[in-house]
Amino acid sequence: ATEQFRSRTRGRLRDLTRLIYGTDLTPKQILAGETEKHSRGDARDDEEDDLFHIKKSDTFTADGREIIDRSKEAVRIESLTEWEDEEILESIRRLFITGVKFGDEP
Amino acid sequence: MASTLVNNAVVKFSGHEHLRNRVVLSLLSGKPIRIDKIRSDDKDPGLRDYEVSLLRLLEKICNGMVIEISYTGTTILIKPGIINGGLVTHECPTSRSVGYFLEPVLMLAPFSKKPLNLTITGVTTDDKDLSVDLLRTVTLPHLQLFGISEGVELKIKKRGAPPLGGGEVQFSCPIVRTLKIINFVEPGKIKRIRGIAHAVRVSPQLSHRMVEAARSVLNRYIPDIYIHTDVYKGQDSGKSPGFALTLLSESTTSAIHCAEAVSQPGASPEDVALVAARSLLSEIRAGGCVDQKHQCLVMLMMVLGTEDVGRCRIGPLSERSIQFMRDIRDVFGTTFKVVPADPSDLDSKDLVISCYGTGYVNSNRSVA
Repeated sequence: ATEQFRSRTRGRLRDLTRLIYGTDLTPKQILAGETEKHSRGDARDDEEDDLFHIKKSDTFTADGREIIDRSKEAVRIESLTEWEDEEILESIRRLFITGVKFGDEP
Repeated sequence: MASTLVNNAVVKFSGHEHLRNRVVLSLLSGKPIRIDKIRSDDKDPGLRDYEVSLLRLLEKICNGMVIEISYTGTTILIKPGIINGGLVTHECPTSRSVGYFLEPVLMLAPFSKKPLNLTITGVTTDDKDLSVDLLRTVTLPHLQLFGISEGVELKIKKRGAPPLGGGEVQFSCPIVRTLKIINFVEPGKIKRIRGIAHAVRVSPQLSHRMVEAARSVLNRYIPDIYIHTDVYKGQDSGKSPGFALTLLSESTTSAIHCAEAVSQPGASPEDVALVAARSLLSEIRAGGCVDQKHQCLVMLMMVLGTEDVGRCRIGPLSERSIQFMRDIRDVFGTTFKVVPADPSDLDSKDLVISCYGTGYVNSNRSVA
């Protein structure tokens, strides 16, 4: 299983250049880790729907907020609560100069 | 989303997103662009007030720029002129902070004919755009990587918190002929943390409380923490109350990561400081030499660099950056190569982006 995971993540990373320039995937789909195959399947499903479509809005996100042009990403407060955990706090110590002294870097 | 080159070389885009980046690309490349379907399915279609204001600002900076906005405001055609620079003043609507307007200006200013001196008024810090503190302490040092250093300055004359604003900043930028190519792949180790805490129209004690709370999180890693408390009084503190904390970490190789948090109604200064400090930790963990907020700026400068291969290590790509890479291809024809930074380390999500500079020469620059 580890081996499988390894090859999968590798494959995805290696293909980023191709995903960006060679496909019609939206940036969101690329970041969600979708590959071409999946998105094609999705597109066909949409096409085969009935006569009427619910028009997908590109002006609003799923939760009804407007997508705006911003370079500062919205902070997800929930995701920050993980920093209350001692182990996670320690996990980035190697990125500081104080972490090098001990010489036990992974 | 997709764009095509038509016979008279108008590059077509669609949708209201990424408007700023696309206009910047048009002005730098000299190619006219047409953007359609701007909120065409919206209850309130067309350009927003801040977008029109941004176009007006760019019109002031440029000479001979023609902007045609359709009757409904859902389509615009931009014919770029030359980037003129000079002395410009602009009043921003309070719907967006001055960061929204300064970001594209930063990308254009080094390539103008005369050094730009821009005075801009409005909201100086909000939760959507880079605040003036971030622009001054983080974004401007990024320009230095490309050889734009002497005379770049952002002066915060007055602060203005939302909703009423009332702030004033002065941005001056020298002109360059060509840009240096970068090779920035070593993130280094973090050696210090700096910050700016400011509070306007509220007790100055609040900024001290923010500093204390931020230190409680960050002190465990490193002793070299200095958070400046910036005090603005009277007229200089704008029209609305508010406070915010901006934090940045600097590594041994001068890679900067930053985060900030802005007061929300009812939030205590401790809450704001904790959000800022923890966001900084998240940014640090995301890795790279350049953070997500500055990916687009760095990519653009890499593309405009001299004809050589530029390399830069970044954390995970943002959605904006991916679209920007595509837009760069459509306008300049340059593509990036994206490879994992450490193929052997599977936990690392760092990427190295590289591209061949277009050898852009500032042809607007007057021969002195």
